[in-house]
Amino acid sequence: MQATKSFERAFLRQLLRVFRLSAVSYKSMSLQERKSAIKLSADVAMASARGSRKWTRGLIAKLSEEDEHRSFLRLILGTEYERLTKPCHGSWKIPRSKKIVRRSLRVCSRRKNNLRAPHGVKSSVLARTLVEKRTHALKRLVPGGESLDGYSLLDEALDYVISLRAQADLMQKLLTTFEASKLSALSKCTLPERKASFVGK
Amino acid sequence: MQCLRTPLSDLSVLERQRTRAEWQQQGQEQSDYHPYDADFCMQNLLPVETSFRALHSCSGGGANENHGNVHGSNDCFSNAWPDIVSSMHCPVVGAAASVEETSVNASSSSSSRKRKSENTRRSKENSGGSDGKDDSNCKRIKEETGGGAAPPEAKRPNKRKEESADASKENDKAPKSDYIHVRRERISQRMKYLQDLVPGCSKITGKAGMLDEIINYVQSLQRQVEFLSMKLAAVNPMMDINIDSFFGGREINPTCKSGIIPMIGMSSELLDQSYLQFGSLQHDMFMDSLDLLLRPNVNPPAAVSDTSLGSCLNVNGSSVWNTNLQNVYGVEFQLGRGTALPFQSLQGNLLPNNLKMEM
Repeated sequence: MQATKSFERAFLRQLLRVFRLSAVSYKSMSLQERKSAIKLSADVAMASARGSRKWTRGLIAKLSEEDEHRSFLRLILGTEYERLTKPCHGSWKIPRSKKIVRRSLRVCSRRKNNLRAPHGVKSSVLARTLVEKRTHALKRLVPGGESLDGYSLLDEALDYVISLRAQADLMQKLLTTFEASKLSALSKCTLPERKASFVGK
Repeated sequence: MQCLRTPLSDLSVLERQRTRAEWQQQGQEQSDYHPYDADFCMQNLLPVETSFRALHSCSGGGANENHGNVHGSNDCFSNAWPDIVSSMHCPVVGAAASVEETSVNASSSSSSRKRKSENTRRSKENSGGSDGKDDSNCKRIKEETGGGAAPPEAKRPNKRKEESADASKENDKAPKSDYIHVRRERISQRMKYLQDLVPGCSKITGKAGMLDEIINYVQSLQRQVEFLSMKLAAVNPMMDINIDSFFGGREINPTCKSGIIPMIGMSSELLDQSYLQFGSLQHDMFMDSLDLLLRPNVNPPAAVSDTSLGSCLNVNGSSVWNTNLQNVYGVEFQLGRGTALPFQSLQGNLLPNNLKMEM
């Protein structure tokens, strides 16, 4: 599975736009600051290019936790920011569904246990614990994943993985493009010209 | 844009999917294959219409009266997103979306945001054809995410975009056990997708192992993004110059990803004059800094040039920059002792030195 071209295009457009907007402030930053600014920009660009999904909302919410980032986000996203940070109506259905999920799980496990009674319950309990542990870990990894139930968590994780991959690819390509253009820019300028330009200052 | 309403109640996922397939045959331009979420991801799947049909014993099979219906009607959505919908290539999905929307209880109970996201997501979905299975999964997922395990008949006034005819079928007939089976089936479907997605997962079958792999993959991707942003930050001080030179002269190494170039060309229209001027200003400074770095023979190579460059990079304003340059290197420069190193080796030294210094 791959992200579509339109997503990549939107992502790149947003990213370049963010870079242009913040290019001035980059001058005065240290490497670490620049790195985190770039990472922030990339995340914002990814989220805004993706549109409205649980994980994008979670990501933007996480990024908005710091005030300085919030104004930056507002600037980048414009009206979308308000929309994306509005509390999700889906989230207040979760309590209800959890009850039912639990009930259904009980039904399921009762059935499973009945079938598997001779082998003892331990293996299934162990398996379930493992899965639970990993589900929790995944919830922590996927932004906004804490409030999702198993199935939608997988769904969001799938989406998130696709866009992360696209993000990494795009950044890699951007990097090679920058480096290559730097090389070509270097090669365009001959030595005497450079000397002249320097002396001229 | 045509705007046809569809009879909602009897639309099943299958119908919608066939509608979409039909629409695709009418030849729309979008070449990407969008099983899962058309605007977002694509996968090369063979048409699975038949298997899809096998999967779902769909009632009301062949009602193809819907396949006329094509373009998503804006008026279905009270908060119309005419620009989004009009730019969509996939009218059918718009229809489908409208179907679902209204089947849910399309009064304005859904929030505008949901509708927008529904619109965005659905209408961007291509009738990428025949991935009926994936489409249905898509819908099923949406339904799942919307309702969790909400009981079928459930009050769906605040139901989200994830409503599918599947669910409504469940509504009518299925007891909870069937619902659980369907749910598990969907989970396994999702796991299969993830298996395709995460490299090296084909052998692992258990849920726990799969989850483990997914977690590792997500972590590694996140780390990779961090690393790349670090590298970009290292390149960055010269970056706006680079952007400028992209936009200005298209002097781009042909080995670069060619796809970026038209994109960048596209965004160059957005550049305003002031930025261009700013960029060209930086360009000179950039050349100077590169001159500095070209002189490792003259000065103790990496250390001095890098420190001065580093301090230069952190400083605002061209005056300070030039002062530094002149103070440190002015003499040598005028002596003309510079020799141009082969650029590859320069490039090879440049970034690692910067990184080394700053880290």
